[in-house]
Amino acid sequence: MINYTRHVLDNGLTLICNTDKGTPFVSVNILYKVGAKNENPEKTGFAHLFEHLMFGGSKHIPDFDYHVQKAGGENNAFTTNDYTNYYITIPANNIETALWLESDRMLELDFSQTSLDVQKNVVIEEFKQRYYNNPYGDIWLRLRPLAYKVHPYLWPTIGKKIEHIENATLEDVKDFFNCFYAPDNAIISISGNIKDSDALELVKKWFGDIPPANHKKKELLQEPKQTEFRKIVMENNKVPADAIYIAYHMGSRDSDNFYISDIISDILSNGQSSRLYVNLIKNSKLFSEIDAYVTGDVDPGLFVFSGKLLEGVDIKDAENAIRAEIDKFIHNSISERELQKVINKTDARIAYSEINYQGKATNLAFFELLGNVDLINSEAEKYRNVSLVDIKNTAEELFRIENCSTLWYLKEK
Amino acid sequence: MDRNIAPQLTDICSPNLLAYQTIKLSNGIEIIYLNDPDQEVFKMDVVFDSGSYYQPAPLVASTMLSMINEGTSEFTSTEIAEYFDFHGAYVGFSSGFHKSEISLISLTRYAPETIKMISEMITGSIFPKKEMEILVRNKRQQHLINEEKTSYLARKEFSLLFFGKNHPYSNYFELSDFDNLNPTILKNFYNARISANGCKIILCGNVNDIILKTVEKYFSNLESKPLTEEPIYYFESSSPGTYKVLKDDAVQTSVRIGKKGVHILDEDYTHFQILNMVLGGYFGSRLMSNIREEKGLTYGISSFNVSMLHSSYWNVATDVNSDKAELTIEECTKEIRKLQNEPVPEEELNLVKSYFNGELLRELDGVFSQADALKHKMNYNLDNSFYLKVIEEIKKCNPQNLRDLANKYLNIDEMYFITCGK
Repeated sequence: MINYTRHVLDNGLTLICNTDKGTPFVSVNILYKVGAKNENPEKTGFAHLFEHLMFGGSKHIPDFDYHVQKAGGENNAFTTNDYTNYYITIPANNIETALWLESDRMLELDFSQTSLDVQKNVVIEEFKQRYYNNPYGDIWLRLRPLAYKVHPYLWPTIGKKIEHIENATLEDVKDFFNCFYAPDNAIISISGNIKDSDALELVKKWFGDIPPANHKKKELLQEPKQTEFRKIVMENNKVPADAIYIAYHMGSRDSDNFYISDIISDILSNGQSSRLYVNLIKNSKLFSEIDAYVTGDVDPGLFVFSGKLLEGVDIKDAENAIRAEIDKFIHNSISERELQKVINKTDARIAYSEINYQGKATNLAFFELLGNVDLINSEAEKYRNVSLVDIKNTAEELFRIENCSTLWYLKEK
Repeated sequence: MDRNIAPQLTDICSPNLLAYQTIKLSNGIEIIYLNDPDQEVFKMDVVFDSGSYYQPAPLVASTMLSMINEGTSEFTSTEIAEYFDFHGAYVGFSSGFHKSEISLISLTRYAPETIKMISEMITGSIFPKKEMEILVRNKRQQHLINEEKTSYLARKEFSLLFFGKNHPYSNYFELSDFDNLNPTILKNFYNARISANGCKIILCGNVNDIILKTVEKYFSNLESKPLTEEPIYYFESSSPGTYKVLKDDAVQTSVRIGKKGVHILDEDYTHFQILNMVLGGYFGSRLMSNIREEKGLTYGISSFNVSMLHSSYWNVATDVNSDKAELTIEECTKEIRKLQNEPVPEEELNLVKSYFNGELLRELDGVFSQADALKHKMNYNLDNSFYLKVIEEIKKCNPQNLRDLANKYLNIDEMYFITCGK
């Protein structure tokens, strides 16, 4: 159980605070409600590039990192398709440094051509390091546009291609900042050794006078229901083993469908006693790795099977084996113990996630983004309420062949 | 409120070291525990003297350890997995050069069940052939994937050059070593090294009386065997210089620069850590500022010092665009020479000291982190009071110390310059 308080400032900034006396630190987490999905399809990778620029200095503070480090703090950030998240963990006595830094860059960034040029290069190297210089790294660059035809989840946060990053201009940067980096599009969550009344006072002091943007976001295009089976084959890859990806469209993060699908994925592949591990790795010796998981995106996401084949296995046989497991899942019964096992595991996972103040701050902001911060305490209940009937019905609807996109990733011949 | 003025900073407080208790079981097992009743979770690490130093052939130590998860006389591997999954517990295996450990993270309310199963695995493993074949096959495949990574290949090359392939620290093995593994060799190693003698159990989190009693009950039965002495190996280093590993389809080139480092028990250790931080040990370091933030050559570059029981090494590691490897090495060399020739400005040194103090506080934040830190320090017959000395040493460090150390430990002529790419 995580206790928290919630306030909305006059300028629209939402503050969530959790007091944790078990640490000498606080985590100051700021989530901006903008991600790769809000990008122009011709200028992708921008939200993530922008995340890098946020460390290039702000209106009154030329060197962001210097002050964090000087205060004994540490900071980092990540961008997803749905949002951009920044955090600073800092000794609690120095929390004002974090608030000063974060509020100043929310107020106004120091837009510099040099910083843009350098960060474009850094991001291009990141693109190469993660996607091209990494075995199997480019799969999602192809799988996304196979599964999505309309919704902006069709490109990854790094962007569709390197050229989009190369072409970004300072004007684009300014526009993006003015639309999305404002208190009415942000959530600040604080967890650690601080009283919530003190946190509120300090957040008002540093953020209270930042004007809202009042920007109206463009409606996102919704993905139409998939009506035919899709498949691509990527050949001649420099990898030691073939891989297969099978993706199905599922519900949004806040839907009941999410919790049921997550339980389905756990029954199939969470842990070494799960069905796919036992049947496809241990017993039938087709795969060296196999996984089933949900992407957990805010908008309707994907249920994904991914596996690496053992040497000498025909990829058609591997695919058929996964499909046979899916059929068994739908048509044969699931035992109460099997369901209880994954629910226990989920309970434990939630308990483990409450240990660390920084994780708590990030989670509080994420649930607030979903529109219901109390989910942080009620999710366990939602998982516990999933019934065997829910699972069967959802699996039948989910695993229809016309809802499926399949990718074969073949090694060099 | 003036946004041009930074808020006043307060000094970073010293870490609050938690007291730990020890108990010795009748068979010699040493239990060390740190209790925090506010948690609902506990962690248990069972440590043996069964690292790769003692193995009769490559891969034996790590494979033997993983096989502890794969079946006992009473439970099959799937039954073991199901049991932990059902109780929401996680089991991990990590095999080092000297020690290896089996870790359990579990809800305290399920402690009697989960601890019992861990002890069953440690005392009753039977090394089934079928499970071994699957495990080895999958490990082999993972290895083949690693061999496609330039960063992995560059790191491997450094270890080989620096330690020599006959020393366990080089971690050297060939593909055929996977084929030579068999249940008998694993079982023999298990019989020889899994013993109450030399075993430590570290408990932390919500460690209540039930947990202590359960551990005592099940682990008192573990047999104590006379262990053979640690074997002696010799380092066979190649000459320093430039080495290239060819990987002609690579998009980026991995760069590794390395040499001998500074041992944790050496009196220069803390000041060398500071020197290393200035160069490449934190986000604002000189290498990051130069190679990433000024030139945009890489997503990241770092330098680090690693201490082992009988040696230590120091490395710079980065991945850059293939045509920039040479420039990167040149700039790294320039930054090192600068540390040898010019004193680090006071302001920069003070920044690094603050960052270091913050890092120490982070490393010791909470009962789980402190137990990890303690476990590591015990390998060197230290405990966490080591950190208090580090804090004193940080205070004492001045620019002249750093310049001396840069000349003493960062001699360019002693370095290996390794690139892996096209």
